[in-house]
Amino acid sequence: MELFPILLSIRVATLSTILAGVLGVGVAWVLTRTRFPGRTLLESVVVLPLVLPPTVVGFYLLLLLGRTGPLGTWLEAAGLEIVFTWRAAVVAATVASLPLVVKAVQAAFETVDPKIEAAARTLRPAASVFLTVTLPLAWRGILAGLILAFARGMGEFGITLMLAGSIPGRTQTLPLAIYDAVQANDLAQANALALTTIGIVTVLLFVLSRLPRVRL
Amino acid sequence: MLDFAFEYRLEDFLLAPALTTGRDVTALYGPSGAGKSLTLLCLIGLRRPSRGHIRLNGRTVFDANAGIHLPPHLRRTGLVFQEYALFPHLTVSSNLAYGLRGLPRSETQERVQAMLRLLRLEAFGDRYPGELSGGQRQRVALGRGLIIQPELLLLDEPFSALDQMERERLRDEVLELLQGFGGTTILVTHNLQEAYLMARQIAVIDGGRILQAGARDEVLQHPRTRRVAEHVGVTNIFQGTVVDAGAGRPVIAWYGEQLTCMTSLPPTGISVEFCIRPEDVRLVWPEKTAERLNILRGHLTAEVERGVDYLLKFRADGQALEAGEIEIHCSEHLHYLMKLHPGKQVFIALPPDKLHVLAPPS
Repeated sequence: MELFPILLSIRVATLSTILAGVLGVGVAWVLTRTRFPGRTLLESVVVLPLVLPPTVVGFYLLLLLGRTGPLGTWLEAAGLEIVFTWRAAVVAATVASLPLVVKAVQAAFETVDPKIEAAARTLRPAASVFLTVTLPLAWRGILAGLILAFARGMGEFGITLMLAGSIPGRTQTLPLAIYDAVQANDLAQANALALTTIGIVTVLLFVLSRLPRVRL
Repeated sequence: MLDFAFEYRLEDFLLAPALTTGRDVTALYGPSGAGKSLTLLCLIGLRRPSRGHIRLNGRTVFDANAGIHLPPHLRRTGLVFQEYALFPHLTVSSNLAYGLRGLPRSETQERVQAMLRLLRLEAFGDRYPGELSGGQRQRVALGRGLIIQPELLLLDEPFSALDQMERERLRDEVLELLQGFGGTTILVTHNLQEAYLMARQIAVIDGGRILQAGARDEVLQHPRTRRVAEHVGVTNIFQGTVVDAGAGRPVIAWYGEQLTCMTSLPPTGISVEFCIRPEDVRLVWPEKTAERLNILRGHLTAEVERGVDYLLKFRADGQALEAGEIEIHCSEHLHYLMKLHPGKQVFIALPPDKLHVLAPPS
């Protein structure tokens, strides 16, 4: 069995979970705790990858991040190559899991009593209140969002294919490798990779369920 | 000393309170929707007024013109929320210590221990708020505000979440804690009795404005306007005309009666509103009416037994019948002695020193 797709997928899912986690918590906070004119628009844009076909999302990311794309030129000048590298897989997984994180964390933030935050605000600066009151109280919802994000990162297919390609040994993640194996009629290989995926996700869920619960 | 005057607009509601108060307990008293809680939120800085200033012991914590708006945690102000808003994920000790930052660990612990002792919660330091009774939570909330040694303490309806028994016990405890505090306290309440029991100063607020502020007895006995009078439980408000009764002694002519007043009256011929508290109306034995001023004869029209006393309604005979009913508070003892019942003929006196003339509505 090839190890590369497994390691790549774990790396991609881990990095995209961190990225989507940080971004998602920030966006969710903005959406639940602030009021500004473009709020609904921001919410729609964030949720878009959930409802659009992955190929469509991947296509536009390709245009955006490609060598001649508006962001791509700028990134290339900065020496950062994205498209058709493993980094593209991370971007793809991040974009795909961001709405899941945002939705879960938004729901979690909404369960935090604004009065408790206000009480904290009378005693400490806002940033400290966020870290010591808001985050701990919303922790379970955030964790749920991160689990979803990791699972989505492990399974991302469409956007990754468009943006990173399926280059064996370079950008071929687990789902792409499984697809490749099936195409090549190598069912044993496909089976081994699929079982590995199931194993990783099961172990992850088990570990998370054993984490100490935050008491409320 | 706390001194503020500001404006805060919330949709159609304009909050524009102004008050100056010293190191004392002031009750901010008014009906629901008067702007009481919003005033506290502005004072601590969770809301930013559009105009005005807030000064605390000479420090400006807010000034719209100068662009000063100190964040809440730098105002040296403690706020105790109505439902306490304790941190459910932190122990009692950690709740108390939350506002103590930048202190050495040992000092933080010392102050938390001292506060636990003061609150009589020594055994509860490691408990979580969810494991405490309502009264204990309230004490923790109070301690969390007091431990930062604020100059201003704001209490938002501190007893409203408690049952009657607990409320009365807690009032005494809170009073005791406040005596040791020594700063300025603003206590928000919609309960007049609570305002009277807890505070030396009362500020009556309604419609976003402070209508009158002053020593509690002054506000209760001498409400400036009809609106304040109604808020502080003066149910007997009447209209009369100032007349000269000879010898330069002005009295109020009222439905054929001539009522003597102690306060100075506006010039003769002016129509005035005057009032008397229901507990200040005296029931007089028939044979003693000659000894009293401002005697009215009439009969009782209704009585409400209120557990500790009676609320009686009185209607005068003669012209004053038109004036409507006069409310009287009467002790159970007197009610028994005079054998009172609806329909009974009685004499009442409106003591001159209790008749209070209201300022015309502006």
